[in-house]
Amino acid sequence: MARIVLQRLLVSVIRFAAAGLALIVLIELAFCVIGGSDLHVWKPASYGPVPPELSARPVSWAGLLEDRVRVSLPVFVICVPGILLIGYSWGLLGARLRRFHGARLLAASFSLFACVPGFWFIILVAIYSYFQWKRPGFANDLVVEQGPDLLAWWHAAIVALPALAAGAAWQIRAVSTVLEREATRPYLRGLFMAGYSEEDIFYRNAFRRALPSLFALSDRTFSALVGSIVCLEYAFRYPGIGSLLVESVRLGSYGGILVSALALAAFLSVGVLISECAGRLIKPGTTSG
Amino acid sequence: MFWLRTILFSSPLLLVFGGSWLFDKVGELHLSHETGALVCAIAEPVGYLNPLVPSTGVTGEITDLLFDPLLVRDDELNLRPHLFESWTSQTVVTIRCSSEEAAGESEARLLSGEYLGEEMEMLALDRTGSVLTVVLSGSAAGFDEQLVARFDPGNLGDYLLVRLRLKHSVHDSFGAFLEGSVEKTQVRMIEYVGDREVNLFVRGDTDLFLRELELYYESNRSLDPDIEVMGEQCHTTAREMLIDLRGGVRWHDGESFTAADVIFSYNRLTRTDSPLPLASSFGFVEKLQAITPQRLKVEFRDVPATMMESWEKLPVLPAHLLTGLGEAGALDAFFTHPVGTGPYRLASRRQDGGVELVANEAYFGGAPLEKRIGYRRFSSLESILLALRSGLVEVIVPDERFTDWTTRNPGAVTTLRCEPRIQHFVAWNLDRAPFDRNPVRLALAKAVNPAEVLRDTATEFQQPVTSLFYPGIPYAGEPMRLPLHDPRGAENLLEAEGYKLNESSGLREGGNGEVLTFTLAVNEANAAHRRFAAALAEQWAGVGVRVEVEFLAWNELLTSRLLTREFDAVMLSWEIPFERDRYHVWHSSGAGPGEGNLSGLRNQSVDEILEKLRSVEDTAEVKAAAENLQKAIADLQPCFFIGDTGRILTVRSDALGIYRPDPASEAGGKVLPLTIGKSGLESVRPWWVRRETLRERAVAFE
Repeated sequence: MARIVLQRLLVSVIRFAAAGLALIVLIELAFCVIGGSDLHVWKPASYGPVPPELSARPVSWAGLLEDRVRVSLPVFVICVPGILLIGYSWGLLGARLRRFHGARLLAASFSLFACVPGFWFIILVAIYSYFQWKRPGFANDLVVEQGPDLLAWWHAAIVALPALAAGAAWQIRAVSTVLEREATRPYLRGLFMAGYSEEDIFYRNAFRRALPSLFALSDRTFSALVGSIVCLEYAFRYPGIGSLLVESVRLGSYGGILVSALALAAFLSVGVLISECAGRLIKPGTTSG
Repeated sequence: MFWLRTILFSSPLLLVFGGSWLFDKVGELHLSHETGALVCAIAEPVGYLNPLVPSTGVTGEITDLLFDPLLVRDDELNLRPHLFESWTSQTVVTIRCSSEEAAGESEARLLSGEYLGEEMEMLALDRTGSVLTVVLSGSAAGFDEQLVARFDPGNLGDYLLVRLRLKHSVHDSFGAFLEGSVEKTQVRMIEYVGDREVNLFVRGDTDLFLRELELYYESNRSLDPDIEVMGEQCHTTAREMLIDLRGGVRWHDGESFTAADVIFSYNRLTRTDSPLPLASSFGFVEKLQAITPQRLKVEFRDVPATMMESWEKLPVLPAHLLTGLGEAGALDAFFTHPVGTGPYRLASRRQDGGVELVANEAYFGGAPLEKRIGYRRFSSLESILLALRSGLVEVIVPDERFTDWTTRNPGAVTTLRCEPRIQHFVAWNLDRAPFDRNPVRLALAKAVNPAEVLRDTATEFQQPVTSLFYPGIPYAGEPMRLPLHDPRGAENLLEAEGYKLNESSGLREGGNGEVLTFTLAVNEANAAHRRFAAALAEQWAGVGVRVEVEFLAWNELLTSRLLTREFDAVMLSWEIPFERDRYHVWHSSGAGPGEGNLSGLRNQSVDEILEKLRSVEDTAEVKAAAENLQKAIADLQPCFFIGDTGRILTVRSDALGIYRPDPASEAGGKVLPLTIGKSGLESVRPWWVRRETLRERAVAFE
């Protein structure tokens, strides 16, 4: 087990290093071509101080990253477990109800949402916000004075929901596809002929045998999730790590691009590492009824 | 297994329930924080709400809403009662008559009014043996001499008055002297005045007694004795004031405001370590004591005409909360959540750095109509603009971007300009060359073009200095005529002083070849001062004077420059007070290190004007003295006056009015259009009210 974890860890580190190297090369090229030859990616002075457009208070790049990650964390906390919870539970249900096209029906509402990415949702939020706070968008000027900062979670939920919907729809379809494929295997027909009940065949054989493949699916939405969050955070002016990347690109701030891109790459690498380890460590098995 | 699967399949609904709950809870935030308040958008967090330190901007504005002064200025800037409801001064003259019979005869004549002048009103009279005690209304100087002069000289006692002053413990010290004295029989009467002074009425061989007294105290120098022979005098005089506090005034925590609070504040703030330099303003007070919880008695050393202005400056603190609090941390905690007597009280501090105020319903002058005021920091200009459009913000402390926006969108907001209260100046050290020469100081003043130095910002406007005194104050009608911009005249003055221009370096040099240069110390944290310093250095360089600007932290500037007077020139600002007394700022007695006369001005005519300004009561004489002082300061140039600064506020157009409660009137108050009067923002700010509130209360605009 330790060998598998170490092996996957090494692969993850190499993957992250490759992504980082590609980024550094790109930035160095940009320095040489756009910024002038005296600036280099390895010189901290090349990045300068954090521009005031990226942070209202004076912070270092590390401080800026910490601030932005802290703001984005609730979005990921809502999105990742939400996608996995909805995707796996309703994907399983959809596969179980495959005769009634259950997976398609269950994913339809999310797919509909995903087809029109956040548009109607944004309109609804804007209408609600206007009547509730007399202004569209976020109620950033409100301050929660007592108890948990529910307003911050509300803002995070607004950003997270479109990404969660798209990710959940994809995950439902992917999980049910894997299970449906497993359910068409010939050995299941043999079990059926041997008198096993349909439930036993599906849950105790098909589902268990498909577990490694299902776990392997868990990281597939992460890259799409990161992309969605980059767009959504910027669209909602949500001051997270995704909007930091877009704002940095717009400002031509290489420091901001570097820290935000590396942070997102690190998130992806860790997500993939956990998913791969889980997939390798799960042993498929069957039980007789 | 069926139940397990059911739970698994329905688990996504938990997200829906969680989202609904969150939606519901967040929706409630709307009602609790955004309605029913006069909202002010602020740019900086609100600091300590401390009336003991001069604060400007929003923090000063909120402090004024929380703490009430003892006396206020009306719309014409005349001093009016406030927490002090009324005051009467009286002169107590104690007259030693030659005998009991003489005292009896004098008492009868006093009662008949024979001895009283036209302007004298006798409040009380007492006779104990040969001693008469007469209480006269008023405390004008010379009352006592006028009264005694009317007595029959034959009835007055024949005494030599000797006044002994010690640093302290005069009772114990003089008692010890009497125990061992051989000439004590010549002391016929003794009158102790406080703990530091005793009046001795002696008769007989007074030389022997005086010699013995002097010998005794020569061996007791530690008490810093001062023996003064006043001459033939049979009377002593004490001046007192009785001050009645306004009844029904309560602190925000419900405790009554009493004389103990005034005494506590006086004792605390006139100490040498007080953050407010009030000790010199209250030098006239000998003793302050409470007669009843609502009445104070003040015993005077002398009677300056400006004594009520001194009381005006004294902030009042709650004795019941601060007695025994010595640590700075405890005081900071108090000033974070202060308790005052003002028309508003602090409800809470907000996480965004703002504060929420609520009306003080127990306010003695009537509770403000606007029940809540919120000082809030908006996250962005966009938030402010949206709030402005939605009618959710009434007052905005502008920044550069907001000012740009208002320029592009006229009509959305109204700009209010407060009276210029802050005066900026460069204090010269008159003990150092070249500032010991008046022509040099005059040349430096003439070399500067104010238009090149003064510049309005988003939050404040700047204008040239026109007066040493509060703008529009009745006693200072004439403006101060400062030297006009005249670079040629400045060069001529410097040439005449022997500072010739070196064409190669562009700098002026004295007879010994030394360059005309000086160091200007500036508080590095003050952005306006930094800008002024750069502009002034450029202007002075134009006439060949080199200025080295030294940026220092305020603490360092204070301790290593101002208190020790180790500077050539220092840039400072002060708040222009309502009072006319400038004694501690310009008088020669305050020219030493650590004193208030920072420039070290020593000028006899200025001293005389300052003393006159303190003593005269006649309006015409006060005006003349104020005018003379301004002229003298303009001529002597102990400081270079840079400019005056006033606050700029923006309010949503047609959103606010003024409602002054008047419990005595039938209407309950008076509604006025929004303006800032001559007496400044603090006199009208508590009564700002939203038109929406007026509509709710069915109060009509006049």
